[in-house]
Amino acid sequence: MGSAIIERPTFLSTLQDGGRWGYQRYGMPVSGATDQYAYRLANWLVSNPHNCAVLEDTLGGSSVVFTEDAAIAVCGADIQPCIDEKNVPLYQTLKIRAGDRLSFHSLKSGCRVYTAVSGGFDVPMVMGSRSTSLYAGMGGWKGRPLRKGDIIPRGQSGGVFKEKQIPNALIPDYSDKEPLDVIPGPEAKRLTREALSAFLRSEYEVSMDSNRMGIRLKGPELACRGNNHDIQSSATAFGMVQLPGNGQPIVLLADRPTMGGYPRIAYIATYEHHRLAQLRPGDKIRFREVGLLKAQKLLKNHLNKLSELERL
Amino acid sequence: MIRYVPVGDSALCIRVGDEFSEESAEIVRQLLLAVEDNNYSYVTDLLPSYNELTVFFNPAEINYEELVQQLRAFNTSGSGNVKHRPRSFEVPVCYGGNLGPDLPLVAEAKKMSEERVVDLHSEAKYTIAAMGFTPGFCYLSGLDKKLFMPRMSRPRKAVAAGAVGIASDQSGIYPLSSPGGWRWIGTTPLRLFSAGSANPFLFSTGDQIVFKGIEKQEFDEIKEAVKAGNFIVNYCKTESPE
Repeated sequence: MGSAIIERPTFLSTLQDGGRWGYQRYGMPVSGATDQYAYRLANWLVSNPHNCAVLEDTLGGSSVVFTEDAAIAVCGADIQPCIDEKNVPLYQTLKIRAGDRLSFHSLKSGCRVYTAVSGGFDVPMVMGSRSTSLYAGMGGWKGRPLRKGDIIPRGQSGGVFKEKQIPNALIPDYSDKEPLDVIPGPEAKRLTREALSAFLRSEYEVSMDSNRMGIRLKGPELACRGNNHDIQSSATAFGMVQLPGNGQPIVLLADRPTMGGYPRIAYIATYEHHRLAQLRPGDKIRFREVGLLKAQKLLKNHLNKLSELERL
Repeated sequence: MIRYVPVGDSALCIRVGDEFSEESAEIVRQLLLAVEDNNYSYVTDLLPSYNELTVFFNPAEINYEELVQQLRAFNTSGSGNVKHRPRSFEVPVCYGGNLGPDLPLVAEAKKMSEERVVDLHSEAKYTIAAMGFTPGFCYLSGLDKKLFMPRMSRPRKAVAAGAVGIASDQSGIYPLSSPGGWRWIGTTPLRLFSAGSANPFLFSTGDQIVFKGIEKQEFDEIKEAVKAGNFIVNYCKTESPE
């Protein structure tokens, strides 16, 4: 038990879990960890049940002091964690003694860092989730980003410290420049032929103006047929690529609104979502088209690898 | 006609007809109930909006083609299921003044009196066609054609929680104070969204709404009663409750 004292949060530090599912019909954003893959790995490493809240840091890592013995794990962006000034590895269970401080060197690649603690961060469950909804100002820690001095209680854990490690094959390389696989979106046919080929052939830059809601891309302007960029508002999803009237695509992330009125031109395949979640402003990306059938097959492989690990 | 459209690899959309209509919305509502009744373990969320039902699924358990096969069984269930008639509510609204600052503007643009705007707005029967934008925001179909009006070119920085507005062919209710581009003609004292409660949302998509004009004094009384948890929202008198 005990607590975690936030000594120095990052630019945006929030508590997140698997997301607030079941309320999209009322307009409630799902939220949750942006990189669901790193979130799951981190919880597995500290033997937490599914859906324990973790700390999501942005563009760096927070300094946190733990008041009691615990197991922690750090996954996600490439960054050097330290426990009481001593370097410790990512993707591995780490032992914390009462009073130890977790801190970080600066970020090498990627964008978001996930820290799980045995027992999870014990904040109230609101509408089935502990995730912070910045949009609605609820969930997580008082519905807001963490601040210096916040003291977050830890939940009850199973007890025994069990050392685990993520196999190398399952550790993503976020500096990898491979294109992101995309499936045509529900309104892909609205793109002009030139726009579609520009989208698939060009390099896009992640704009500064990106957040947990979505990534704004900078690149060649894309046009819809007849320059019509309005559709009847329809459902969004994590990884959906929308095309507003200015022709610059937006990729939706965890805090996306549930519906949008822009054509949904493409969807970033779910097995790529951890790479998507780790893009940071200034990163350059390309897209590669993949059919739904093939994407589903690749997704199944990806998920099988994860569930095999979780059975260990 | 019903079509299935993939929404990425972990969701699909059931589209009823080519555009929104009261009939297509009713079929969407029936489909939603039918899918819900089956309690499929692989359905992670359901989002009805206008003439569409988006089904989010767990790709570890089922894929797009298999789910379409499952859902085709409901194709014919569009006709009225008497067990589940839409709910129907009466929503009190105080029109004009501070609680509806755009009422004079709408009246002027439509060349009618403010009273006429209020009458037209509160005589219509609305259906919640979708919810979104902010948690609990209601998009209402059924607005009288005489009140159609484009949204403001420059949205307000803030409208009050409960604000009732008009934009193009829809009316809407803001559950929370937020920026807003709709023509704000009145405010309801009802609380549409309370995150902490067992039923966080007062309304859901498919519900029918009628507005009832009230004076400021009644507005304040209802607001107090809502705060104290003593106010029970009226089922609309024209419909018999289930």
